Amino acid sequence: MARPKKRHERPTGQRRFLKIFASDPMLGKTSGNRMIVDIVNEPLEPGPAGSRIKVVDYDGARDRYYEPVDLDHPDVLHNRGLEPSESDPKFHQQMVYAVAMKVIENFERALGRTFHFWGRQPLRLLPHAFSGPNAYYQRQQRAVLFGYFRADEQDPGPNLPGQTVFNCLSHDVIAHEVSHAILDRLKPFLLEPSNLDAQAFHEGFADLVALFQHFVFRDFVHEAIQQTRTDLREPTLLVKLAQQFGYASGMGRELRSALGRPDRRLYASVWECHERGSILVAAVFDAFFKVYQRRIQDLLRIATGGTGVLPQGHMHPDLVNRVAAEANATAQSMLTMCIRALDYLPPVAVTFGDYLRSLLTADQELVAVDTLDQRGALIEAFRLRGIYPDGVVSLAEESVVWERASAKFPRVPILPEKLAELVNPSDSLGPPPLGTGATQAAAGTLTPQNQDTRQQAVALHAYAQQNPSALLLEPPSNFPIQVNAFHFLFRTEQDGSPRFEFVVQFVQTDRERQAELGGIPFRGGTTLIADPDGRVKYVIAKPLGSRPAARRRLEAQKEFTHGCALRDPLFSWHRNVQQYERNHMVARMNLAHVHGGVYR
Amino acid sequence: MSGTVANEVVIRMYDVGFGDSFLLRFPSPDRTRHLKVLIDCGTFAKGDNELRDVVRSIIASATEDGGKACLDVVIATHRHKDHVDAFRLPEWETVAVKEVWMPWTEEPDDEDARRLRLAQERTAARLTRALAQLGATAAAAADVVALALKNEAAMQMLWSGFAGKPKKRYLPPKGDLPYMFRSEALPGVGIHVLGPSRDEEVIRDLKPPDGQSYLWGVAVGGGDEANPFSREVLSYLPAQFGRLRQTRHLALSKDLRTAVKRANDPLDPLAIAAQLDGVINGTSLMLVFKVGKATLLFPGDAQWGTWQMVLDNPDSLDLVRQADFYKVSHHASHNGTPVDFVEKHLKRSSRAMISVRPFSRWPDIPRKPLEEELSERCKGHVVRSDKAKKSPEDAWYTLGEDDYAKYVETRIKC
Repeated sequence: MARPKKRHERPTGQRRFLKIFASDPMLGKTSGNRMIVDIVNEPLEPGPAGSRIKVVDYDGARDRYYEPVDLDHPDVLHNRGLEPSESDPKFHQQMVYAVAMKVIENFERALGRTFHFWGRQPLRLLPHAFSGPNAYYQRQQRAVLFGYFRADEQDPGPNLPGQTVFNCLSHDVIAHEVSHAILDRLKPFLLEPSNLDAQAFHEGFADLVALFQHFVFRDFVHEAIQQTRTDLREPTLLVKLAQQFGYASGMGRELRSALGRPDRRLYASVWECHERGSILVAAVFDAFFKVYQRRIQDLLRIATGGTGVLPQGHMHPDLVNRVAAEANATAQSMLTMCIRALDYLPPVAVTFGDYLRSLLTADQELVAVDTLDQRGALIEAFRLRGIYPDGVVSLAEESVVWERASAKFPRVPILPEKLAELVNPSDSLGPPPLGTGATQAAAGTLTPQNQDTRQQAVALHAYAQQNPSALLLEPPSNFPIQVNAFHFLFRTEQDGSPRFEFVVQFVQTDRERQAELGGIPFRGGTTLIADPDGRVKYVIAKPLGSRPAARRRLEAQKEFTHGCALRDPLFSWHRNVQQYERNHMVARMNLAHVHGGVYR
Repeated sequence: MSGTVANEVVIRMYDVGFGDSFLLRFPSPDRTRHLKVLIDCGTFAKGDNELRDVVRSIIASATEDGGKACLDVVIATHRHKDHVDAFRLPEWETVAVKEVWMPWTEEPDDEDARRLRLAQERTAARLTRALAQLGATAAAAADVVALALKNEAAMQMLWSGFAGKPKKRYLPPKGDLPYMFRSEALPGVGIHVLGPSRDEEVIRDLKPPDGQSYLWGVAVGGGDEANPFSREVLSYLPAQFGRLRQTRHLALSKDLRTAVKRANDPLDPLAIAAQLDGVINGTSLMLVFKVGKATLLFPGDAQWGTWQMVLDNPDSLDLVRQADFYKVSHHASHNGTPVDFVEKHLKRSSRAMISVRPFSRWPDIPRKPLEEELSERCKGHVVRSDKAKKSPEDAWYTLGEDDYAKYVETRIKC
């Protein structure tokens, strides 16, 4: 395709419209499967290559590059992107770009700040990286690799036997993997298997993003509402994830679904991280459904002359329309809440219980009056699944939220003239090393490229050195304190007024424990939330050292490590068991293996 | 009424190399004869001749005074080569057997069982094909998979062979565990089945990993056959792509390309082989025999899944805590015996037998620390099939030998 000579002759609208498959190509032309999404209109090089996402269509199986799509080409622009097609790699490139950008937009809206990957480098998406029924985020390469494969000959489900299936054409797979990458950028230590929940949280959270993003697709939602007569708990495409992928690899069903029955035994007994993650998904989806029901009650009553009981036959399209709008708004609000909570998580060793506390705190901070009782619905949904936060006295909202810091807490230094830069510090060049990675220098994790942010980092480091015990950190003489991340965030309150907050993450690492923890160091850390004037509001910590909570956590991590060893059949057969034993938890960070189902 | 046999159970462990073969003799209630139970007969590393010798020894022991060879019960704990291989030998055809016991997963007509077996076979076959292509680098994995292969002839013998038209029991039947029953073939013996479970979730865990997704790269191969698109779709060689003005901003460094190519490699083949092995071990029959005062624990090759269920179930736990004898699970591998069981539950007066011979590729079987813990807990009353040199001073076991094979025997009062 010849490119016009003047590159800048392109429409400068706010939004870019692109066509995608809403779910999987498996659904083909079923209604609602082809969608147009709108995303922010940024200048794009062929690829597409933008500021956050760079699609590189390199096929490692064949050592070839496929020709990149030029989304700024006038022909493409006029048609709102290429037509959905399984046989055209350029459409594949367009789709991974569009879905990934949609995910990033959702994060930005919720986080209240512009999002960049490490070192402001774009995340690479390789839509046809390898041949195999898998797709995964690779931190070292800052890339998401998608595989392609032939559908199972014996058990292809609705696919054709032997048909080539492209993981990069599944909305859910793209959204899931990009969410992994974003979460890793925000909470880089969560990939470490430090407890039973950490990696499961990664999986569950990525599924939640993919799931709630389904609700963006209008036709999809309409159809599901008509089909289920508003009961979105019924198994429809809306609540199933990665349908084609599941069928094609011979699993005989969609990968995961949001419909898990509440069963306390599961949280106590499930170890495999996708399955455990789906407990989290089910809990949040359950809360979503309750809130959605509350929101449509009045509509149903209006439509049914006050009975609220729908008559036989089709629903009125206007009613479907209104119900769909409520479903969409509820989903958007839940997704925002789920993402926003990330800022309120401790930097290390996160559990589902911590996440519940963060969800509630973040929401309470912004939405003082919870008219639809979203928070109550969440507490109840987690309780039904046996997920309780550690160390709370009751499940009342006021005790589940994180404790407020006292008014006398030492103020955080915020260099006021640097505010503009701090909105989006350029951050470190790369992620901190995990597992057995090299020891870092004290303040060395954060290496801002810009002078002002460096000064802020130094000031924060000095602040932590002076106030370790208030921050529930160990004295720096025991373990160096690292300033792991800091940023401002802007949000809009219920009444429309702006709200600023300053978030800092401090991390400490005890490497002496590494050998008995399968290669994973024992980490502690504190997330600090402050007002823009430096007044500290929350100190959310996972301490190290001799504090009872730290000792309990260390014991739990040892037990978890031991449990993993018992369940890992590789232990029996390994050639060098001593070496494997020292590193078996690090091996669990290989997402190719995790997604391939090596660990159960 | 006093009979001719002593009031004790005799447990004989054959030295079959890396494998299991245990011959049990219980006194009949009137003590006029021995009830004979064979638990497993297989080996991984031994040749046919040696295996045949073990079979001959068992048959000789099962033959009384020139009569016909007769075993009261034959038990196959699970379908691994190192537990069933010997059953493919024709020698068994003339041995009269009253009952054959197998895990429920071997039931020919059960739909769940059939599906599991099929899936296991499919994975094993796929893996074997793929590993063959990988050659020497995957030899360790291939050995592990070999345990699961070519056992059909042995299974045929168990399903429909032997003389005397044995009754088959597929254990446990549906219902709660532990399942207790008595058998006409073993009067006076209480049998408790602790595993494998028929719980839906457990069955799901017994489904083998999908070998397809693991070993994709091997199965497909590279080259143009792998092209997912038609020939008309333009593609570039890396050198070309990096030079074009339109595309060079997308070109990956050589290191990155190498890393991406590596994504095409199969995942660690040993990991999938170990998974498959673990899944089949998970079908192991775990049995407790109660004869008079004596309690014997035979867990087959049970691994963590079964053990967890047992330790969490008060009735099952109560049974394993009474064991006077423990056949150490899975050749004393790391996953075979939970530390908790040894440290907290195993009776200090227990005796334990480990049937194993180290194999160079699997240096952690048997696992040293486990052997040491067992020995400490049982005050030294642990013996290994390959290491028993002579009877100890307190003579808790004896070394035996007949015309065909060597074995270790221990006698427990009942």
